[in-house]
Amino acid sequence: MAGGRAFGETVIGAGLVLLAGLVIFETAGAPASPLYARVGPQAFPYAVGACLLLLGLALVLRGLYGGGRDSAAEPGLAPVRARPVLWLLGGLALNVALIGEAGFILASTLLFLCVARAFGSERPLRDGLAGFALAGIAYAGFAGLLGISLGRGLIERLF
Amino acid sequence: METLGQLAHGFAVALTPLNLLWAFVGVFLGTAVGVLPGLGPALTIALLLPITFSVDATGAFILFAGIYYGAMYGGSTTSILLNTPGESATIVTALEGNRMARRGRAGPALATAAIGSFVAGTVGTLGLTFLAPLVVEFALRFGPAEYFSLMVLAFVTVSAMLGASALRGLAALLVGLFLGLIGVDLQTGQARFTFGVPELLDGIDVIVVAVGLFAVGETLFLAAHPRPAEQAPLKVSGSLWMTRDDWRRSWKAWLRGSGIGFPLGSLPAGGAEVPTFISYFVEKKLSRRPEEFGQGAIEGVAGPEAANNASAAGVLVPMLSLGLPTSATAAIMLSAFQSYGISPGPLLFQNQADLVWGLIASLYIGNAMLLVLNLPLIGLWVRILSVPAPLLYAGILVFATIGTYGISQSPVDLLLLYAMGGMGYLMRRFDFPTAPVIIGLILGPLAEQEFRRAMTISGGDLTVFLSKPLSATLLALALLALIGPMLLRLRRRA
Repeated sequence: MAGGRAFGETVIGAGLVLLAGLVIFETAGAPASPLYARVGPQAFPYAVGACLLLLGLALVLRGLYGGGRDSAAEPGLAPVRARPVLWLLGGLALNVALIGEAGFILASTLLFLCVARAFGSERPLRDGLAGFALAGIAYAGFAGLLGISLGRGLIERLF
Repeated sequence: METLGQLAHGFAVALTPLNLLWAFVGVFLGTAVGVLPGLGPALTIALLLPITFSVDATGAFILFAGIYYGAMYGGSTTSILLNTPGESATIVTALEGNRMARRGRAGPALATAAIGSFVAGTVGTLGLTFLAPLVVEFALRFGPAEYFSLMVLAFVTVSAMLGASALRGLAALLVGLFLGLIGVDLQTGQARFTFGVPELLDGIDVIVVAVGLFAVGETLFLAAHPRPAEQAPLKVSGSLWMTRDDWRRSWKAWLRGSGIGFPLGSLPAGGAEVPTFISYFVEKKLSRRPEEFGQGAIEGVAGPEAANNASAAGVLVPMLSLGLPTSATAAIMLSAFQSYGISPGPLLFQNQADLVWGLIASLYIGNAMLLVLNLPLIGLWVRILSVPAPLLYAGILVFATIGTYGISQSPVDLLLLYAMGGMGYLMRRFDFPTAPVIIGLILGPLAEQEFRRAMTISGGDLTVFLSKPLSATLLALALLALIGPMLLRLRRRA
């Protein structure tokens, strides 16, 4: 799978070049600070941008011409399967959409269901109950004992 | 001996009922996350960082250090019984340990791992007790220039020297440094890379990055590339006791493992993996029966297991005495110090003596607890391994949500978490190391601060980093660590 390796390196390298461009562009466009400082807030971003650019280019070059030589390949990596990934991403999207209005417990129970499904579970009732119990206990533990606020949604308001 | 007096005082702090409870919770949780593949101490401590708002600093660090030590014990159980490392530092243990278990010697393999971890943990903690104050003496002479050069050295060693490729490690480090730049510049109040998003003004929380990379990224990876059905953990049949021959073959390996793990852990070279590999090869070289290696040689379990625990203690030396984290877990502990407004470093030993020595004393206590937890109670941990994967990963993502959403109840943090998860997936898929991201994120802003301080003192003269002998030496070492391996590779190729 030397080709696959080199492909990843090239794409990530290109991504880093883009990131470097963004870093340098943003830094150059930032208003100069009115406060005096011997080394201003731009020095480090420029340095980071320059290093990112060099590393990105080096990765692209090695990815294209290096044959993916010195990378530790994971043997027998299964190809990406779309279904589980879609369940997982769906669960994450539901979670972020619902957590504010419907509340942590409801959003987490749905997230739990979807992730369990993504890992091949065929027992939605068990997963739903387990997720609900876990979310409820975690909410009580974090909000009650440790004073960490997770917001108040539909179910949380009942208590 | 001033140190012994301080240590005695530390025991007085650590033996209070509440702190004993924190130590117990820490080692218990640590063993559990060590046993579960895919969960590690760095992720667990990141998820628990919010407790720094409601728990006192001493208790919190006793908890965190317990998790760190416990994970090193727990990981070996999974390696031996399941042939899947529970922890990256226990990869080597699987080589011989799983072979022993297959031949019905799971008991002695678990025993030599647990007792070896105890011996090495104690040796390592002794090393920490007596070495850290010496480093502190030395570090009191450091100015901003020396600190900056030391951080540059740490950057290079954690990213370029270890792992398959220096380029990949450095790329990961630079991404971490970039993430660390986001937010308001403390010296001038200027916002950097916030793109008009108010949530970014405070910077990106280390919880978001660590949980995104380690929990969301790993889960995505495992969902996208399902493994062949996992085999059930091997049964622990027969006696847990080691035979006289097992003891004879183990004790030297424990001590050698400790001797390899502690110094390598305390150098800014990071990670507990390398010492375990070195220990394995040393044991194989020294063994009178090298042909047994690969078939279940007990030395191959005893040595590496000792090495990883000793290196965990070693990592705490630069962490506490210099404020220099050399592993992802240590970097997250450093950010916990920051959230208490405490800066680790030489002054920590003077200003926070209760905290430091209480923490060190609790490491001795935690080690003794771990020995009990991991031998007589081994059955409990084996049962944890039978949690079905769907429930395990679903639970991990629920906890990832808590850790992130609990910071500020903002969906923006959750979106950032998912973005980090996507990055973590790509890094895992294409074999980029993730620890340098965390270290860059935490240490980057500190390095910038020291750099600007040094520049202010020198009046903008860049040569200050080379004209101070100590600083120049550190930078020379960094350069050597960067180009040395490349030169070796070129020579091998030629």
